Amino acid sequence: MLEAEGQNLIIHAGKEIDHMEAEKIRRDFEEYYLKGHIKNVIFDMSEVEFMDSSGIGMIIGKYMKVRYVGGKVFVTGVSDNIDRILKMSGIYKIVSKRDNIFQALRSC
Amino acid sequence: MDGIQKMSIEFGCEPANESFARVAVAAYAARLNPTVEEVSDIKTAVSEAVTNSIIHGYYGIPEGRITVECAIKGDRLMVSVTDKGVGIEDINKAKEPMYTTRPELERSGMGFVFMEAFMDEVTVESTAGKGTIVKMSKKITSDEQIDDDLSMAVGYN
Repeated sequence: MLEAEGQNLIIHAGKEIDHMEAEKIRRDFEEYYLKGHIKNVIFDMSEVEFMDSSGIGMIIGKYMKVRYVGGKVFVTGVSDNIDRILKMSGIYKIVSKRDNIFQALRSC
Repeated sequence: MDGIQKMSIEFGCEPANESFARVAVAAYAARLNPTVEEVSDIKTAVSEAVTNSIIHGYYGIPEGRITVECAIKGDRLMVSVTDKGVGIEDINKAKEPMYTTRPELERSGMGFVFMEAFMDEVTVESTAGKGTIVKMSKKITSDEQIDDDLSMAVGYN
């Protein structure tokens, strides 16, 4: 589920970020993105229980989109298990982690 | 695949079967009493291999079938994922981090990196035009904490 908050887009990821979920988010994001005005992207990961490398592709993809307009990408509500996978992938070099959506919005 | 208590499943290359495959393997692995982290590792690795078969092996081949086999050897879980798809021309290239042939799908190119990170051993055999077999194994440490907690809960020890 996607939710726009000004020029920030909050993406509430589902329980399992795999190929199908990442594709669904990619298509939903494109719709929002084409309307314009999206600068920063916040991934709310608080519901996520499973993730494979599809999740990494999904996050990198958004980073590649918004970096041209000086935007940032955040992940919030990350569980220990998902954090382990994100750390392993090296993605924290390009996206930042915040405890919750509110804190991420304050960093935008 | 050698080993006792073998299990094998075969399914079509619909993306919905990715979750079916990883949950089936995790359920099979449960008899080794893995930790929560080990279950997560196994599910992620299986998801990577099956997703590769679907996105790459059977790209444009909707009738493709995938076989997942599991066995237990001592304290090791053995898993193989087999497809009869297009195969991988250059396995070393495919294994490179961030290398993908499907960038339009926002694939990260981290599939093999994840398999190698989350399993102890990963081998890939592939023939162009014939298909691919990914064999993986992982030593399961066995979650003794749960055993202890359980035996205390039921009044043993």
